[in-house]
Amino acid sequence: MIIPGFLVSIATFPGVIVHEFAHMFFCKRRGIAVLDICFFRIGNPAGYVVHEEISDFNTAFLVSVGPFLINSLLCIFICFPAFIPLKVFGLKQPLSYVLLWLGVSIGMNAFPSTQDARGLFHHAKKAVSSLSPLAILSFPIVVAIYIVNILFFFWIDYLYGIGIGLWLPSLIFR
Amino acid sequence: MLKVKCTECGRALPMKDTSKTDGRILCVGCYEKLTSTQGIAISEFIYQVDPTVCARCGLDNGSSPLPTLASQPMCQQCTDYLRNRPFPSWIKLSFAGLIIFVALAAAWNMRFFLAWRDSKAAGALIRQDAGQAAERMRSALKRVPESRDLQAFSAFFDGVHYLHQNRPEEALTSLEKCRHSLPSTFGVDTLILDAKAGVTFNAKDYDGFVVTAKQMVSKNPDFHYSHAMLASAYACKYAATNDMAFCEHAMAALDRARAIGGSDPSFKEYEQRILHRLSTQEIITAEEFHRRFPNGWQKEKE
Repeated sequence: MIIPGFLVSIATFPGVIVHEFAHMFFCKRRGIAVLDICFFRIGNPAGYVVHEEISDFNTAFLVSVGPFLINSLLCIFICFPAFIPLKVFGLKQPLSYVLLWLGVSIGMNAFPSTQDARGLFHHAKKAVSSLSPLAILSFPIVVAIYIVNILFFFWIDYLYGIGIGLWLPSLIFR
Repeated sequence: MLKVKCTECGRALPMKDTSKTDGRILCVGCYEKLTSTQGIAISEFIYQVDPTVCARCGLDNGSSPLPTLASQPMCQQCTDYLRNRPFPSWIKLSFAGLIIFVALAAAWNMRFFLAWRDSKAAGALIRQDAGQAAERMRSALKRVPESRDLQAFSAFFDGVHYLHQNRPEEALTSLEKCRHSLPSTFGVDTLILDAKAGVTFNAKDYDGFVVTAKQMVSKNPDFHYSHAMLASAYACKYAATNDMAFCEHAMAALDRARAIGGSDPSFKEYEQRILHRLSTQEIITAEEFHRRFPNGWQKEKE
């Protein structure tokens, strides 16, 4: 089903906000100046963080990939209380659906954008000469980010949100 | 603040109020005049950056250039602010609200987690201690009474527990409750037949016992217990009627049971009770049998 991106952004706005929050959070942690920030707007991109040029690779990695970690963890954390009533006992409570919407919205906005990938690639190219394992690992990550961004068309972001929100706990609560 | 002269009108102006276009320094007024003659769009007027004026707060640093941040002159205060820019209050409040909401939801849904834990414990206990297992499953149901799955599981575990306690009437009532709610792998139908057999035995309805045992055999023909149950039922009929045909039926069924699972220790005990019934034509309960023969029974020893 083809749904305009801005509608998806509106429906999953908590995820957009958390994504930008995570970018800003890691900028602050690493002392990177945040020049401008938009947590959510109706447009493309739905949110953004403008920060100063980053000089070291580790910081660039954290700022680029940080939202993936924060959004994914929050998705798991939020979906968790909904999982048992919904999936183990099959009870359809409104509270579970609210949690699920929040969790999956945040989870499906976990993936870094192609712009994040470009920034990461730029820094990884410079850092790879020092044989930093993280820099080497960044190349497949960048490729994966580009592939995933293409697969957004096929709702891979939604599948990811559902996957970590509902499938992951099912490994524990059999 | 640095001042520069407009190339066109020669006025001295703050640098930040001028634009450098094609090597010429222009004020806004001259730029607008030129655009009308040269056709340059007004939007192309790009203000020059004064390295002595903070790009964010406009602080004038006299004639000394300020350090730059993202290629913009920036005072120390603004640099510190941007490097540790505070999250907007609404973000902080929303985040706190989200955490509180999820924590409250988790606390609210804790009963589901506890019920799940009880049900898992019950599942692990069922083979060792059916009573404990039924107790844990009842506890799970108490926490989530609206769960149809738990209702069925609790009834099932109660049924198994009652069967272990030789309380077939209660077992039958419990098992009937979950008959259509659990998958066939739970063997509820077989347990129901087992309970029915107990009920008919207790009611001295030996014809009913035979019918139930036959149903058990047809349902589980490869299960030695089914044949032993049929042997038990025929032994009751023999004891009650003294008809040798029933004795022969009982022995035949017992032979089939031996052939399938003769080595099972629980079968040995059941076999003794059947043989005792056939030998003495006395129908006693399992409890009575164990009370009388705590070390087992053999025909020649009686």
